[in-house]
Amino acid sequence: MNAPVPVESPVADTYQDYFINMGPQHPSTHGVLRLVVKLAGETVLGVSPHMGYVHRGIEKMGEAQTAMQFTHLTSRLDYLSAHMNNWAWAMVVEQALGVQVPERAEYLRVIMSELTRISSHQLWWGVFGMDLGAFTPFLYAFRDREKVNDIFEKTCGTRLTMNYIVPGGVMEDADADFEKDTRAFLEYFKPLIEEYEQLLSGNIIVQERTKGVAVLPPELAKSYGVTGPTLRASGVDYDVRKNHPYGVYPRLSFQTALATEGDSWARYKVRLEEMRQSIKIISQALDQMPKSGPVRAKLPAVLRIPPGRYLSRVETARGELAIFLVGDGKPLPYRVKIRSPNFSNLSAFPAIIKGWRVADIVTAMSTFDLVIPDIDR
Amino acid sequence: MSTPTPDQTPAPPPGLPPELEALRDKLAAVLGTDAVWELKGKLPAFRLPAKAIVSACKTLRQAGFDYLLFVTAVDYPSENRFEIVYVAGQYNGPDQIALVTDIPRDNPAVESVSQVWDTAEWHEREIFDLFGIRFENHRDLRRILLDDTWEGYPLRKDYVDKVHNVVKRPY
Amino acid sequence: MAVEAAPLKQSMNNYDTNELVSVLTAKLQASLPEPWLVDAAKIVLAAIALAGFASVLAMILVYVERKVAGHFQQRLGPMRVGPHGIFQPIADSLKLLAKEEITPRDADRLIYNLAPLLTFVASFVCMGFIPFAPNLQAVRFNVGLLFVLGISSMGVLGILAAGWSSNNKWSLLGAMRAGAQIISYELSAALALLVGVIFAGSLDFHEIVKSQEAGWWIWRAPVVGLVTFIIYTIASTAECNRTPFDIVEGESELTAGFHTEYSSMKFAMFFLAEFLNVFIVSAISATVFLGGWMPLHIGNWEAANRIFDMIPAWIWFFGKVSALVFVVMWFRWTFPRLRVDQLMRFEWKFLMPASFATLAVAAILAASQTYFFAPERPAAPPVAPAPTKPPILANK
Repeated sequence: MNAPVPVESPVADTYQDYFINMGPQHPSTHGVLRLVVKLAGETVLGVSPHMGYVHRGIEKMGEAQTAMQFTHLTSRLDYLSAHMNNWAWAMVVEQALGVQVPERAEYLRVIMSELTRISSHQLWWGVFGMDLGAFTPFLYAFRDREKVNDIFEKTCGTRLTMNYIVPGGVMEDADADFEKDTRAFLEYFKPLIEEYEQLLSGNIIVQERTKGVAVLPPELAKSYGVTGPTLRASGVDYDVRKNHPYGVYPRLSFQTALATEGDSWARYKVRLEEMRQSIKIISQALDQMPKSGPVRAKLPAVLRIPPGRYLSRVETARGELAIFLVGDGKPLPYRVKIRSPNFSNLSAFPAIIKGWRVADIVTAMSTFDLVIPDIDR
Repeated sequence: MSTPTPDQTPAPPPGLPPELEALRDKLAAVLGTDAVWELKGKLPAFRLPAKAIVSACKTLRQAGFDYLLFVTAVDYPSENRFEIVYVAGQYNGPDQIALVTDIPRDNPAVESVSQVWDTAEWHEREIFDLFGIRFENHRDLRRILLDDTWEGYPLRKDYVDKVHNVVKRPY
Repeated sequence: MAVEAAPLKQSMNNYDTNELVSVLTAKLQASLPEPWLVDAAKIVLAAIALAGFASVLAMILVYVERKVAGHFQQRLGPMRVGPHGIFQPIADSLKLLAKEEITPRDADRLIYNLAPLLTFVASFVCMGFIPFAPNLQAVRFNVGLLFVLGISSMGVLGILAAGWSSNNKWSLLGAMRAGAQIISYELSAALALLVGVIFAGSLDFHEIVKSQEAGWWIWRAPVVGLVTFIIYTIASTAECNRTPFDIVEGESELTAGFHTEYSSMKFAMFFLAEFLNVFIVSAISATVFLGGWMPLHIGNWEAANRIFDMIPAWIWFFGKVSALVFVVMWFRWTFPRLRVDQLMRFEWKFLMPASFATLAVAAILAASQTYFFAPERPAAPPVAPAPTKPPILANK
C-alpha cells in the first residue's frame, strides 16, 4: 500500500522540480532545523538538512569549565534526557579520577534515567500525534508527564535541566516521598500505555500513514552510525545498556524492544515498548535499592583530570551518547567531544526519504525523534 | 601514590587487564606494524601514520568493527600538530578501539574515511568546520554547524573571536 | 420571494415563526405604497438578518470550538473573559480587527484581495437557502439544493486564488491540495444528497422537509438512509477542509496552508467562511436526512407526534444542526489527518463507488415505495397549462 514513488519514474518527470524550505521555524522540525527539500509535485526528490541554528559551542566551553561546572552544560544537550547526559559526563570524570560511586547513588541514577526515558517517550508520543494531525494526544501526554516532572521537582529541584547526577554520585539523597511517588506513578502509568495504544495505534489513519513509510534498512543504519530506538526498529539488537553495561544495569533484567520492518510504524511500536520496559526496570531498581547509605563519593575540592583519553557511553532516550575526554593534569579538560545520537541519526535521514511525500517527511522525522540542540551542541 | 581513600578504586595492578591484552594482540596482528599501541588514560588506542589511516580503517571494518562512534580532532598548538581520533566499536561485540593519527598544524589535511563508514561524512564535515582540517576525497566538504560565511575555526586553541563575525546579507 | 406556507397537518404552537413573518409582511404592505417595494424591503431585511446571524453564529461557533477542544483535551478552554469565557469571541473579534494588515511585497494584489471575498461570498449566499423554520427561509427556490451545491463549489476558487496570489510555495501547496480535494469530494457529497432528493421527490428544500412528515429519511429509508448519511458526513467534512481531511491547511506541515499570508480582516473572512461552511453542511445534512425543522414524527402515532410538535420548529432545527456541528468538531480533535494520496484514493476508489451503489439501491427503494410507515409523498403541484400565445401575425 505504502510505496515510495521511484524518482526516475515518468510521474516525477512530468513535474518541474522545485525547492522548498522547511525552515528553521516550522511546527514540525522539532526545533530549529532547516530542511531544504527538493520536490516534484508532492514527491520528495531529496532532502538536505542545514543545522547549526542552536550551536552554542558547548565543546569549546568545556575547555573553560571545571568538571563539576560542565555538568550544567550537558543537561542542555538533549534536554529531554537530561539525567542521562549528566550521567555520561559523571561517568567519564569518574573513569578519569578512578572514583567508586556508592551503591545507593547508582540505583538512584538508574531510576532517574529511566523516569527520564519514560518522560521523553511520552513527549515524543504526544508530538507524534500532533504531527499527524491528532491534536489531543499531545495534551494527554503532557498531563501524564507532569507526574514525572513533579517527582523530579521534589528531589532535584527542577523539571527540565536537572544537574542531579554529578561526578561522584548524585547531588542529594532522594526526597522522603520519592519511593512512594514513583511507585504511584508506575501504577498510574502502566494502564495508560494501553490507552495510548488504543488512541493512536489502533487508529487506521495512523497505521496507513506509518506502515511501510521511510524504511531504514539495517545495513544502511549501521553504516551511518544510527543508534537507539531508530536502529532497534530495523532489527539490530544494539542497546548500550546491554552491550556495554554501566551502573547497576547488569543486575536488572529487561528486554530490548526490537522490530524488524524498519518503517515508521516499527519505530513507533519500539518506543511504546520501551516505555513498558522502563517501568519494569524502575520497579526492580526500587526493590533492590539499599534503603539508606551515602549518595556521593568524597572527592577532592579541585578535580584535576589526569592526562589521557577517557570515553563513556550511555543509552539516552534517542541513542548512544558518548563523551570523549582528553585531560592534561589540569582542573580544566583539554578537550571534550560529545558524540550525540541525533547527529548520526539525522545523517541517515536524507537517504531514506527519497520518493516519499511531503507529509511523510513530517511523519518520518517525528519517528526519528530528534532533538535539535543535541545535533548542534 | 598515597593509600587510596575509601571512595577511590584501588590502584590497578601493573600490566594490562586480560581483555585489553587480548584486544591489543588481536588488533596488532590485523593492523600490522605501522600501528603502535597506546594506552593513555583509559581508552585503548593505536597510533598510525596519517597515510595509513584509510587502509587501517578498512581492515578494522572487516575485522568486525562496523560501528564508527565518532571522528574528532584535538589541537596541540605547542607541538604544532592536530591529533585526529577515530573511535570504532562493534554492534554485536564488546570491543572499542581508538585510532589516533597526527597531522601537521599548518595546512592540515588527511584522507577521508567516509568510504569506509558513512558516519564519518558528517563528523568530518564538523571537524572541517570547527578545526579547518581538510579531508581529501570527501563527498561534500563544507561547513555544517557554522554559517557558510564564517571565517576562522573556533575549536582551535588560538582562535580569537572577531567582533564583526556575522556577515551582513544583502536582504 | 418568500411565499406563504401551505397549511400543514398539525398545528404549531405560539412560539412558531409563521406569525412573525405574516405580521411583518402585513405591516410592510400597510406602510409602503408599491408591492415591489414590499418585496425589496423584505429582501433587504432578510439580507441584514442573515448577515447579523452569520456573524453571531461565527462568534458562537468559535467559542464552542474552543470549549469543545478544551474538554476533549482534558482542560477547560477559555475561562477568564467573562464567566466560563463567554466573552472570549468578542475579545477575539476585537483582536482580529485591530491587527495590522500585512500584504506580501510580491503578492498579486487584485487576486490577493479578492480571494477571501470569493470564499466568504460562496458560503454566505448558501445561507439564504436554508430552511430554519416553515416560514423562515430567505429564498424558496424550486431547485434550491442544486443551486446550493453549485454556489458552494465557488469556495474552492477563493482558496486557489489565495494560494496562488500569496507568492509563497507553502500556500501554493495547500491551495493545490484544496483544489484536488474539494472537487473530488463534491462528487460523493452530491450523490449522497441526490439520494435524499430521490426519496423526497424534489430539489426544493421546503419540499424535502415537508416530505419527512412521517419520519426522517435517515431511519425511514431502511439502511440506505443511514449509509447515505454517513457518506454525506464524510464527504462534507472533506468539503469543509476539516480534520481528518485538513491537509489543505495542515497545521503541522504547512503552518496555515493557503491563508498563511493573510492577516486581520482578510484572515477573519477565511475563518468566518470556514465556520459558516461547517454550519451550512450540517444544516443541509439536517434538512435532507434529519428532517430539518420537522419535529420527530413517527408515522401516524398521533399522540407522540403531538407531544413532539409542542417543541417549536426552529428549536428542532437548531438542535439537529448543533448536534451535527458537534460531531464535526469531535472528528477534528480525535483523528489524525490523511495524506493527500490516501485521501484521493479513499474518495475515488471507495467513497464514490459506495455512493453510486447507495444511489442505485435508493432508486429501487423509492420506485417500490419501501419505507417504514406509509409514504407521504406530497402531491406534485399542478402544472399550470402554458398560456396560449396569440399567433404571430405575418407581416403583410
